[in-house]
This record gives sequence, structure tokens and C-alpha cells, in this order.
Amino acid sequence: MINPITAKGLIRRYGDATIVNGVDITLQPSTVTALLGASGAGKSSLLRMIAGLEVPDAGTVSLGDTPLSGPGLMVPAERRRIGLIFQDFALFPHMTALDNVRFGLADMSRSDGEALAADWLVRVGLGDRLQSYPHQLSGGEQQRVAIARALAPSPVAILMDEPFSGLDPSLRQDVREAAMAAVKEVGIPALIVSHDAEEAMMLADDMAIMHRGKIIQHGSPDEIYSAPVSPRVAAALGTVNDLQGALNGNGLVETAFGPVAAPAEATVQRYRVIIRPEAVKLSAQGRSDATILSVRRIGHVYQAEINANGHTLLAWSADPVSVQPGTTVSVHFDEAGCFVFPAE
Amino acid sequence: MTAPAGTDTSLQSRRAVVGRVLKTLVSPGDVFLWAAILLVGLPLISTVFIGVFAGGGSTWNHITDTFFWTYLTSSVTVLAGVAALILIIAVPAAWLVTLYDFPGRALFSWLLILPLAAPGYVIAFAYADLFGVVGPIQTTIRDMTGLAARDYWFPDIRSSWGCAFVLAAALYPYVYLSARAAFTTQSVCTLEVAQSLGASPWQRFTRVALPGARPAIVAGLALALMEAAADYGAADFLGVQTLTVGVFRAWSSFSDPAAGARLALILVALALTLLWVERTRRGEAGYQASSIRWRALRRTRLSGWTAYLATAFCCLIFVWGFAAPILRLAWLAVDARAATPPLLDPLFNSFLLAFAGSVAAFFTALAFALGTRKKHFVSKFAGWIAAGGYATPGAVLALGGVYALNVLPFTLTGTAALMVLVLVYVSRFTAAGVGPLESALERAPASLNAAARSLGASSLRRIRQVDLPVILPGAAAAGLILFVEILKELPATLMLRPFNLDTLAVRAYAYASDERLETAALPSLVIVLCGLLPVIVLSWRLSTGRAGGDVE
Repeated sequence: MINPITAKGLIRRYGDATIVNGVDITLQPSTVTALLGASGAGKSSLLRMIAGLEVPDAGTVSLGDTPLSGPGLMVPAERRRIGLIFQDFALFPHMTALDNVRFGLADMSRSDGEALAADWLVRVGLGDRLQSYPHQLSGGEQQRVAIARALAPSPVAILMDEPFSGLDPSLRQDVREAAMAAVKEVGIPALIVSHDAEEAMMLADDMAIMHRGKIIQHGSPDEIYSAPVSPRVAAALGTVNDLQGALNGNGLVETAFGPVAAPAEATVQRYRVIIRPEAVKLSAQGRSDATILSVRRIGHVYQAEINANGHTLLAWSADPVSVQPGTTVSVHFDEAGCFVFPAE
Repeated sequence: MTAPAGTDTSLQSRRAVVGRVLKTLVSPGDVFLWAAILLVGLPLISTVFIGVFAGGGSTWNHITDTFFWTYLTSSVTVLAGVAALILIIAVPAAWLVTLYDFPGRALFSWLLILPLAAPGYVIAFAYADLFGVVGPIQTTIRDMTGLAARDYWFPDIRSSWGCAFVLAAALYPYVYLSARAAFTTQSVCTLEVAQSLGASPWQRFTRVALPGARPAIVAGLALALMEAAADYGAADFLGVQTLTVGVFRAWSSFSDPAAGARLALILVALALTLLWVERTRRGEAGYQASSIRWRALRRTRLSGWTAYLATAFCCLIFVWGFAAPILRLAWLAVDARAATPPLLDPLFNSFLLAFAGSVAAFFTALAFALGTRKKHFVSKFAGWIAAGGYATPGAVLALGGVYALNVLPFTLTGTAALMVLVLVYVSRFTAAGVGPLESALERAPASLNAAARSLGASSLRRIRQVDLPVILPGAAAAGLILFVEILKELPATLMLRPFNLDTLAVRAYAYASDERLETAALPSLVIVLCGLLPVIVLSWRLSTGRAGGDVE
């Protein structure tokens, strides 16, 4: 029986600063939850409170029905059986890969522990490096050892703090896949703290955006991407155009590049219009008061920088012919990628 | 809830601020740190205090009338000579060993740090004998030419320049090591860029590597000059009247430690200036190289005569700094004329003092290393106090103790003197232990402990299986460094040791001063042998302690 981990009303202060300010989050079994936010948003502190490395100033953490942290109660990290993976790997430098993995298997006999540790190292693809010391391993290999070490003692959950950002991009993909496959196989709740939106969306089933100690939106990556609750959330998940708009006579919000639909309850005159670059459609027909300034390839699309009356707009297009620098184009927007918020 | 920042100027919040500041200053964990700061700072502060308030009088007037300019010019000449020699020797050597391959390179890369094992006075004994009128070199010249000693010119080792020659031989590794570290960490990217832009090897050295490494080189040089200024044994033995010799003489010849303390004020100012230079440059040098991605240097292979020239250059430095003086002492020691001096008693005394001093200094250093992990101004202050003690000559630190013992109703035979001597050791050498201890503690970052906890390890098991094994090698290295530094220490030991408690250093110095160099050779060699231990540990750590391993 695998239990969820639930945090309720968690608060953590350092001196005058409130780092985590009333967070509720549930980590479900067989679910990877990504915690996304800028540095200083309180992600790591939240993770450390769930792990039992820090004592919350208020709030509770529980595993299923079993309380872990709460008023007058603090199950220490060493008794929680929650696996941890760090950005800096945190391998014991004086132990071989095998001994690192065996460290959490103290209850077993030596031979059983070694067999299980070796089995885990084989599973993460390090069957031939059992006797290597951390300094003899590459960064990717070190992180694989850390993953095996965290999972070998059958933890009730696994928490990962920026687990892949210490790795070269070329290694990251492999290690990430190995890690997520291992975690999914075990079926325990997993939390991954990240500041890389693309990575978080790729890995997570469930996602929470954190800002200044609070979770400002929680949902599936798709939900958050397609219906952000604020400009900040929209910007957290990728490049956006941030335009000013005003309500016109037809019930539309007019921007420098054309109108978008107003929110259902249009209560104010001025709006902030967030538009994803892939939602910007360019064509030669119609009103053409916008000029393409420059075009460059970014990955699998072309990014065009468009100017209209001194305002700049980024558009992503798969078709290089429609985006020639110097040409004038008309701009319209795919409503799915446009988000209109009342201006503050 | 907390009030928004900037709105609270009430008395209450000000009280809260004061309370917080007090809490930072006197939190229970910091009691040890404050005790350590007091211990380390006491000798230096008392010497300065005595120098300022009690240093005047007839002896001081006598010194200013007679020796003062001699002291000053000798010190300046020695320091200038040491600086020039070290820069000419150590920087090119570090460059060659780091970036080129030539016969013997791997061997030289660590042979060249061996002089760290030998104190300056031991090197001075050897060169006084080698270059003396009856020494092997001049004898050979006379035998070959048939000239008499008066008929030819030979450089006088018993001069300011001779002293600089000797001290530079003993101290160049400070610059060699810091330059090598700087070249190693900077060179990969910048040098390859320079090469791609068409810079010749000489241009890469002068225009890219040297400017980049300059802060580190200057920092290393400042350390070497601190040691040179602190030297008493070599200068006094060679008859060079430096300020440090003057400070010692004020006590030994004039029995006026207060006048010595006033003279010492110049040395303290010099030491603090060098310390300031060292610290600010070290900061600029950006010593935290990226630890995760470390790329091995590709060395250029030298061929033909350039390769032999490089080998010869390194060989010459090694002979100068270590091989010639140490082999000469060994020769003297086994020479039939030498009476074997009693070795057991001074060895025992040396070990006793070094043990007592290093245990005390170790725990003081531990208090510093643990106390300064929190970054606030106390830790900065603590760092300066420790470094201030390290930078100040032992003779200067001992003066405060001597003065106190003269004023207080104790005699130099008592345990009081012994305790004061240990205190001076603590003050002088604690800083040497703080560095290794800090890096040992850094090897056990918080995440390591957290990982162990998440794997269910109890606090006892964490200490036994994680913290101790990780920290122990560094702690042992710190202890070893402290032990050997104290074993080599001469002036403070001379001034404060209880009557008849002769250490190896004191004995060797006494024999040498009596012109019994053959007899001084054996205790000197024992000191060098002990000194080799931490040097070997250091070089081993340098070659194996890199992140990512040394892939070649």
C-alpha cells in the first residue's frame, strides 16, 4: 500500500523573512509532482520540510494517515524513509559506488545488502562501476549512483532538488530518463524541484508554480500551460509577449498588433495581454502595418521579431518562407495562446 | 506576522534589533569562538600595548641612536632580495611544470615543494658551511688555482644578500604553489583562446597567464615575505641585523622587552600590511574554480634543447633549495669528525612541546573553523585575528609573554613559562590549522548529512560512518602541519622555554652558533625529516584532491 504525502498550511520563516507562506500540497502515488519557481521562491525549503530536514514554523506533513510534522510532533528525517536526491549528488566521497548504495540498507545482512545494491546499480546502468569511488565517476554516473542510493531502501517517497541541473545537457537526457523510469517503476510519490520549465513539463504529471513562498497555481502541466491564472504563471512556463491592451467598442481588447477577445466579465478598460509566440500567426493578407525586423532559428522553429509603431512582438513559425525579414505582414492571434488579465 | 520592512522605527523594533545583534554575538555556540579569538589575539595585542605605552626609556633611545637604521636597512635589503629572487625563480618554474612536458616534469612538480620542509635557519647552516672560507667550494677554488683566501673575491654568505639567498631558497615554494594553482585553474579556456588568436607561447605567458595569475602570485609572495620578516634564526646566524634580530636582542642583550616591543611595532605594521595584501589579492584570485567540470590540461611537449633547458632549470632550483643544503648537512652528520650529539632528550622535549602546542592550536583552530561557518562580521574579525597572529614574528609574540612574566611573580623555570609558550604557539600557528580544517569540513556539506539522514542513519551512525571518515584525513593533516610548524619554531621557543628544556631547534641553533656545524647537522636533519611528513601529505593531496580526478 503506497500512501500519498500531504502538506497542509506549511510556514517557514528565517528571521523576518517568510520563505514558505502557507503551502498546501499533496504528492500522490505514481505521480511526479514538479515544483517550479525562481530561485528564492521557497521551493527547497518546502522540500526540506517534507523531508524532515527542517522544522516547519506552522502546518503539518503527513504520510497517508500518519502525521510526520505538526504541532509538538517532528519525526526526524532518518525515520521518515523519504529518499533524497541533490543537485550536488552528495555521494559519500570515501565509499565506493556499491557502499554508497548499501548505506541505506543497514538492516540487511552484508551479502543481501550488497546483492540489492549491485542490483540497483545495474538497473541505473552502472553494473561495471560497482567498486568505483565517486571521484572516478563522471557527473552523470555520480547522479545515477545517487538515484540508486535513494531508491534502494524502498523509500515511501522520493524528493529531488534540482537533480539534473548539475549535469551537462548531453548527459541530462539519459540520466533523466533512467531516473524517471526507476521512480515510475516503484510507484511512490515523487517531488522534483526545478527552475527549468521545459524539464518540469516534460517530467511532471502534476505541477505547482511557487512564488514568494506560496503556490500560485497547481494542476497538470497542460492545464497550467493553457490556462495560467496570472501573467507570472504564464511567463514561468516559457517565452511570452507582454502587451498593453484597451477595451474597444466591439467588446474586444485592442493591442498594438490587433484585437484579442476580452474576458467573459470585462469590468475594466485596461488589460495586460500575454501572448505565447506560437500563438502569433502571420500572413501577407489583410491589414499589414507590422514589419518583420529579424528572423532566427531557435530549435525546431523560426523566431521572427516584429515591429508595429515601436512595439515589438515575437512570433514562432515552422515555415521560413512566410517570415522573411523586411516584409510587412498582418498579425492575428490564436486565442488558445492568448491570456488577458485586467491591468493592475 | 511581520510588519512590512521600512515602516517600523519604534523603540520596540529597535530593541529587537539590538537583541538580535546581541544574540549573534553571544549565542552559546560562539562562546568557544570568542574564547579562541581571545587566546589567539592576546600575545599580539599585549605586545602592541607594551610597545606603545611602555616601550620608551633609555634602551629605546640607545637603539634609535645606534642600531635602528642598521636594523631597518638590513630588513629592507633582505626582503627586497627575497622578493626578487623568488619571483625570478618560482613563477617560471610553476609555468613550466604546469604547461609543458619535459624529462623529469612529474618528479620536479613535487620535488620543488620540498624546501617547505626545511626551516630557514637549517638552510643557513648548510650554506654558511658550503660557501664559507674553509667550505668545500672555496677550498676547491684555492686548490685548483693556488691562490690564498685574500687573493680572490667570493660572495659573502654572511651578508644581507646572503641571507636573502638563503631565505629565498627556503621560501620560494609559497609562490611556486600559488602560481601553479593559478595557472592550473585559469589556463584551460583563456590560454586556448589566446592560442587561437595567434599568441606565441611567450605572449600567452606574459599577456594572458601572468596578468591572470598576478593576484595569486602577489598573495603567495606576501606569505613568503611574512615568513622572511619573521625569520630570526637564519639572519642572526649569518650576522645580519634585521628588525626581528633587533627585537630579540632588546630582550637578550638589553633585558628590556618593552623596548623590543616598541621596535616590534614596525614589524607588526609590516606584517599587517603584507597580510592585507595577501587577503585582498587572494580574494581577487577567485580561488573557487568550478568544481564539477574540471578539464585536464593538455601539456605541450618540449623537445630538443628547450626540453633539456627546462629540466636543467628545475634541477638547479631543486639543488639550490633542497638537495645541496640537505646533502651537505647529511655529509657533515656522517663525517667522522662529528661528535654525535645527545639526541634523545631534545627529541623528547621537541615532541612534548609540539604535542602540547599542536593540541591546543588544533582545538583553537577547530573553534575558528566551526564558529566561522556562519557568515557574519564576527567570523571576519576572527579570520583577521588568526591571520594577524600568523603574520607576526614569533619573537614579537613572545615579547608580550616575556614582559608579563617579568612583571608577574613567576620565574621562567615554572609551568607558567610553559603555558605562555603554548599560548604563543597557539597565537602564531592557529591560522595554519584553520585552512585545512575548513576544507575538511567543506568536504562534508550539509547535503551529505541530509542524504545520510534520509537513508535512516542515526546521529551516531552519521558521525561514525559519514562525518568522521570524511573529515578525519583533513583534520589529521591540520594536526600534522601544526605539530611540525611548532617543532621547527625557534625564536619564541628560545625566549620562553623553561630553563634546560632544549628542543631540537634550540640545540641545533646553539651548536651552529658555536661554530660546531658538524654537531648541529644531525638535529637539523631530524627537523627536516619531520618537516617532510606534512609536505608529502600536502603534495599527495594536491595531486589526488581534484574534483573529477586527474585524468591524463
